[in-house]
Amino acid sequence: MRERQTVQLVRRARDFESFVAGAAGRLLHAATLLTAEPPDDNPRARRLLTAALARTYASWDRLHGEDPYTYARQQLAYRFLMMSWRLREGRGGALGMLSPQERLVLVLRVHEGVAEEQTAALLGLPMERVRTLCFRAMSLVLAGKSGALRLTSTETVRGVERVRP
Amino acid sequence: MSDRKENEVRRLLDTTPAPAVPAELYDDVVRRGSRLLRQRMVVRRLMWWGAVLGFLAFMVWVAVTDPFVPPPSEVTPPLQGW
Repeated sequence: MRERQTVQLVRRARDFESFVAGAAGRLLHAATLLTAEPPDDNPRARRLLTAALARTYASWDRLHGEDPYTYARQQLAYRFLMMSWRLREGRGGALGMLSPQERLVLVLRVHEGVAEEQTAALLGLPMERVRTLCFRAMSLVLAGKSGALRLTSTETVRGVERVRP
Repeated sequence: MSDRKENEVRRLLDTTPAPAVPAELYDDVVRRGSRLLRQRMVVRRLMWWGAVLGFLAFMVWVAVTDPFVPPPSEVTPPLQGW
């Protein structure tokens, strides 16, 4: 009995380790885009990822066939939502010109390829709102990248946002 | 139109340099995850003990005060046949 338990524990640890090895890179990329930090200096994103993965570890036996990657990503999104209350300002990064909510929608929809419906359910928003947020975020990112608009402060971005349809 | 835009943004996000995963990440995650599991177990155990103690207290109270015995009737049945 005890031996079987040990075998199970070992298998669990091995499964989780291979999950982390496969998923951590992609999730950390997503987290760093969310927190709008430079890739080589991303303490917030690391903390976010550690917390989300620890939660996944604790719930590993209760996933009941749910994809652990989906679960971990969901935890990441929840935690980012809670933390973005306090930390509104990005520190640069590719999406630094967006608001936390715009970043979250853009990363889930475009980087992670989550369907509009699931994104809306995850964030508790109507689908229309998700579509609008995503469209606005994409416009801002492309406008910022093309160099046609030199956006430096959040104020300027907000100004542009109001002009756009 | 929107799809083209989406592809463009996706390409852009994919070309941002991916951050390196810190070496200590796995150990940190397991440490925190184990702590969460332990906390959950403690909470569950406390809840069980609370339930058991509550049940015992209830049984003792029942044994001592007999709250479910109906009070003696205060109405005397009519006297007949004497």
